[in-house]
Amino acid sequence: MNRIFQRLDPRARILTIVAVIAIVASTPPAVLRPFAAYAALAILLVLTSRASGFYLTLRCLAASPFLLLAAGLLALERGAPAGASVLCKGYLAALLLAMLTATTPLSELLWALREMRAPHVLNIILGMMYRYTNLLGEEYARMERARNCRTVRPLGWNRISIYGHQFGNLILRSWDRADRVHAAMLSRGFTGAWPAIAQRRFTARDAAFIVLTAALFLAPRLFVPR
Amino acid sequence: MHIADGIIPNLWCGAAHGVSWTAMYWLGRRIETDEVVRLGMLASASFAISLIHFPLGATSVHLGLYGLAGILAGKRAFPVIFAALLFQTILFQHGGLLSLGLNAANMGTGALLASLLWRSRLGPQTLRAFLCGFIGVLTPALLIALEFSLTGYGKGFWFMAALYLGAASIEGALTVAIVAFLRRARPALLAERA
Repeated sequence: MNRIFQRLDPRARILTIVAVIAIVASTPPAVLRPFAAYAALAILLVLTSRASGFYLTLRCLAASPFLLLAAGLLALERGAPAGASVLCKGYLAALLLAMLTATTPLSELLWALREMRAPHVLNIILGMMYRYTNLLGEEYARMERARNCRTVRPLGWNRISIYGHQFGNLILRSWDRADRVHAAMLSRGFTGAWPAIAQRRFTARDAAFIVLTAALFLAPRLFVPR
Repeated sequence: MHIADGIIPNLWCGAAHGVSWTAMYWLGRRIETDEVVRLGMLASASFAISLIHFPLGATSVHLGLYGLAGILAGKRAFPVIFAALLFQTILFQHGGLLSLGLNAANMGTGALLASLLWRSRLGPQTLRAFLCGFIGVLTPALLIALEFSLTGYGKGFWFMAALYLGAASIEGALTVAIVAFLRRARPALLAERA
């Protein structure tokens, strides 16, 4: 059973997760019984991948602050079952999304988005963010170290001006870097879209997996008594 | 504030996806490759900056830079914000796949309003820069509060939106400082693009 999920076409993985999250999220408010079945099926789905349980738990916890706030407010407004329902939906959705990202490298997600006719502008921006966010973060850290070497720590309202100028400087450097990167991309034959790294085919097995998984999750939604 | 999946009804999320994808295609059409690369780098820099927590008294805040995106990228700020939100959803679980459209519509509206304000040439540039940063944060907070009150969550998120007045003021002040720096170092960057 191991790695079944990872052997799917990336488009099938995205569609499966979106379908399952939509089914779980469509459960009526304050209806809690189907969630035990959803949780069992989600764990089964996680077992079909090689995602680490520790990683998935950490990723789910990242969604906690907003979920807890929304669930608390809904519980005050409509009672505890409604709040608990939102909490269950939110954590299950976070778990499934984390599983998708843990098993699908960004390059494959970008390829899948391109094949699903997402605009090139989205694909290119995502690819550049993946490549340059850390690099620009490190560049900012170097700027901060240089400032600390030359000045005392900024205090009071002055810090707004100092941080603002540093942020402006980082934007300026990234703008200049963009021109160099674009020239380099053109020199390597860039035509406006990322080249595909791995060609995959969407087969009948992929379609069957999506339909079967959606049907399994739909069953408790439709047949478990409220 | 990134809305997670399972919180807002699917119908709302579906409608918001429709609006956001349409805006994404419409506002990203006829774009040259050099501009996309600049937007990608702007998105990377903005995201790197948004990860930096800025000490403020006993607590800390971080920036969204939606107003600045509106100033620098004009109408293209929407594709930048859409891509940045998808990136955060995929890599950090901030938000969700179903609620992506809603988050993009909320934050993209703030950026587009900031873009319109910047290009209106009403008032001095410093005041406009402040207001761009301010509405870039406050507009999404108000839209989220509206969406939550319309979907049965009561008035709690209006109080949250009121708390965002402070964050919006800080963002406005920092946007003024960033614009002041860019005006001195590279005024061409602030040229009013459509």
